[in-house]
Amino acid sequence: MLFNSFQFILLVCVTFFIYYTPAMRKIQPALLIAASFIFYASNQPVLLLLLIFSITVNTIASYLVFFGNVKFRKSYAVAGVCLNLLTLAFFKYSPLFGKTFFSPDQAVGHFLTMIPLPIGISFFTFQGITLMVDSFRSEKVIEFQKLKTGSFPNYFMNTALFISFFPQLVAGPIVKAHDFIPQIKIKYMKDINWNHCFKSLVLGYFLKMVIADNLKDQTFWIAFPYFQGNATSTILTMLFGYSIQIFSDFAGYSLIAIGVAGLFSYNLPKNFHYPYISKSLSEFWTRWHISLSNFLKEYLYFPLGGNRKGEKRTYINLMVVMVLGGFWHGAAWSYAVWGTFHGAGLATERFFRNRLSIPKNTGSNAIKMIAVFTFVTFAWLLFKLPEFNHFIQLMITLPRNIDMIINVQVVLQVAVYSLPIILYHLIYLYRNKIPVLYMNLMEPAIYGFMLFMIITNSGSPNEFIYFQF
Amino acid sequence: MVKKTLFISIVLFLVYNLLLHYIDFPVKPGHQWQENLIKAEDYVYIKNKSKSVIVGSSLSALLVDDLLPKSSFNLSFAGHSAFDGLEIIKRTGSSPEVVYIETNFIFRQADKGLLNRVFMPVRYSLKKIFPALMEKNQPVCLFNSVIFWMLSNLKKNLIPAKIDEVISKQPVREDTKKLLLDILIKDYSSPPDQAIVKKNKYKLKKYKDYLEKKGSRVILFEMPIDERLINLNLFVRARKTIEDVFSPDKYATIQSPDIKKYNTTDGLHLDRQSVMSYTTFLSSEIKRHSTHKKI
Repeated sequence: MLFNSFQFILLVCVTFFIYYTPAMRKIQPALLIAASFIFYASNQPVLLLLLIFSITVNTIASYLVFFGNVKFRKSYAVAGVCLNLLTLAFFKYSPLFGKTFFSPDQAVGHFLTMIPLPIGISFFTFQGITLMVDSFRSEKVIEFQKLKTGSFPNYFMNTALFISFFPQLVAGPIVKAHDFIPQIKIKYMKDINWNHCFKSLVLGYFLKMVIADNLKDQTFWIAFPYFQGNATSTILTMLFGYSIQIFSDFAGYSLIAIGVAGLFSYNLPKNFHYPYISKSLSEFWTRWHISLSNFLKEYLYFPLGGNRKGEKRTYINLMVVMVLGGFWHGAAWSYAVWGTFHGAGLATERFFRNRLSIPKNTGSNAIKMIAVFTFVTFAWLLFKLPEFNHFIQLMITLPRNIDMIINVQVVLQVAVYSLPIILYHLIYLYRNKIPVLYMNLMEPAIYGFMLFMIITNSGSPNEFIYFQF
Repeated sequence: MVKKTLFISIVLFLVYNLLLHYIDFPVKPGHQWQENLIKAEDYVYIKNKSKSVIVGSSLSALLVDDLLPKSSFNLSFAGHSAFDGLEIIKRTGSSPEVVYIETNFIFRQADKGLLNRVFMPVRYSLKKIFPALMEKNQPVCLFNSVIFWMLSNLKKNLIPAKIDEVISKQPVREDTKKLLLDILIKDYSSPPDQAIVKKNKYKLKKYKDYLEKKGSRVILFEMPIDERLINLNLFVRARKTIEDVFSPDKYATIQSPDIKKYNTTDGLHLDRQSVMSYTTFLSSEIKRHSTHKKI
C-alpha cells in the first residue's frame, strides 16, 4: 500500500476518526495495531504472520528481561537480539547465500533463492533489537520504566504497537524503544500539532510525488543495458538526477511518516537534515537517514569500541559498521561494496583530518560540499545497479560514449526537477541571511505552490526506493 | 498557515485552469511514459471516434503521426504492448472501423500503472472539468513545450514537429548497436513462459470477440525488426499464437516489404529513415484497406 494511494489515505482517514472518538480512547493502541496489520497485510498477507512472530518473540524476550530471573537477564536479551538477527538473516540473506554457494539446480540452492523478502523486515527487526537492548539497559532510562507497569496483555499491546506502528513500519524512521513507548497513552485531538503535520505532509508528498516520481522516468535509463546507448554527459546528468531522486524519495517518505504519526499524536524522529550541504562524509552521516546512523552508532560502533581503542581500531570499526550498514540495505554484494566505499571514505577523511589543516572559508566549504556530493552520488550507482557486473559495464561505457551528443531533453527535465531540491538546501544554508518576516510571509505561498504542484504535476506512482530494503 | 496555504493552492489551481484556455503550444512530453499517458488521454477524451486505430508496442509507437491518414489514431505505447491499446478501446466502449494490431510483442502484459492512471475513478471525471489535471497540461510539461517551441522557432525550421523529432535523433553507433543486439538475441532465444502464452492467448481471444461484437475489423501487422531476431523463439511463438487466435483465412495481415530495406537502432526499433519509409508504406495500406471496405 503506497503512501500516495487512495487505499492508504482511506485507511488513515477511517483510523483517524475512530481513534479520536471518545468511546474508543481506551483502545487507541489496539486500533493502531489493527490499522498497522491491515497496512502490512495489503502487501503480502501471508507475511503478516512473520510480523506477528516478531512481535511475539520480542514481547516474550523483553518481558523475561524485565520480570524473569535476574541472573538470566543478559541471556534473555542476547537470545532476543540473536532471534531478531536470525530472522533478518534467514529472510533477507538466504537468497544471496543460495546464489553464492549453491547451483540453482540444487534443491537447497533453489529453496534459498525462493525465500520471499518481507517488506520492511530490516526496519522492524532493528526496532526489535532496540527493544531488547533498551530493556536490558532500562534501569538507566527512567521513562522506559513505564513499560514495566501493567499486565502482560498491556505489555504485549505496547510492544506490538512499537514494532508495527504503520506510518514507520516498512521504511522507518527507525524508532528506539525508549523514545516511542513512553509516548503510548490516551491521545486527544487537541494534542495534534496541525501546522507541523500539515507542513510535513505537504513537503513529503511534494518530494515524493512531484520530484522523485518524475525524476524516476528520467533516471530509468541508467539501468542495464539502456545506459549503453547514452552519451557520457547524459549518463552523468541522470546520475545527478538519481542522487536528487533518492533523497526526495526517502526524505519524502520519512516526512509523510512523521506527518501521519503526528496525526495520531506520536512524534517520530527527524530522518533527514539537508544532507547535500555536508562538508564531510562524517557530517553527511549525521544528516542522511539519521535514525539508521544513530542506530548503527549506538548499537554497533560504540559497543565495538568506537574511537576509544586507538587509531587503527577506529578505522577497522568504521569499516565494519559501514560494510554491515551496506549489507543492511540489501542482500547483494554491491551493497557491501557501497558500504566499503563509504567506510573507506570515512577512514580516509579521518586520517587526513588529523594531519591536514584546510582553511575554513566560503570557497573551501563549497569545494568540500561538491566533493562530498560527488562521492555520495557515485556511490548511489551501486543502489541503481545492484548487479556488480552492470556497475562495471557502466564504468566501461562512461569513457566509451564520451563523443556522443548529450540528450537535451533529459538535461532540461533533470534540471527542472532538481531545482527545488537545490533551493531547499540553499535556503537552509543561507537561512540567517533571509529576514524572518520575509520567510514567514513566503511560507504559505511556498507550501501553497507545492500543494498546487502535487495536484497538477505528480509523476506516475512508484514504490518507495527504500521499501526494497 | 494551513488555511492560507489551502487558499493559495486553490487560487493557483483555478487561475491555471483559466490560463490553459488561452495558451496553445505543441505538446512536448518529458519522457516516453508521459507520452504514453498523453496519447491515452488524447484518445479517451478527444479522439475516441477515430475510424482506424493502431495498437502496439514501442516499435509502432515510433510511427510518424503526420504521415498516417488523418482518420487514424496510433494508440501504441512505448515499453508496452497491443494489450494496453486494446484495453483502452474496450474501456472507452469505442468501436473503430478497423483496428490494426501490431503482433511483435504479444507476450507482454498490459501495464496496470498506465491504465489505472488514465481511468483513476475520481480523477477520470474531474479531468473533463479541469484541464489542469490532464497529463499534457502539467506545468512542467507546458514549460517543456514552451522551451522547445522557442528553440524550434529559433531554428526557423518549417518541418512539422514530429518529423523533426525523428530526424534530429542522433544515429546510434555500430558498437553500441551490436552490444544491444547481442543482449536481445540472448533474451529472445529462449521460449516464452507457457503460462504467459496461455494467458495472453486467452486475452487476445477476449479482445477479438469484443471487437467483432462491436463490428470492428481486425488487421494484423508485424513491425520490421533486425533479420537476426526474426526467427528467434519468442517471435516464432508469437506468430504461432496469433495464427491460433486469428485464423489466416479470416483475418488479413499486412505483409512487410523486404525486411532488408529497413535498419534499426538496436535490433528492434527502426532508425529515422526506416521509420518514415515504413510509416509511408503502412499509411498506404491503411488507405487501401479503408477503400477496400467501401467497395
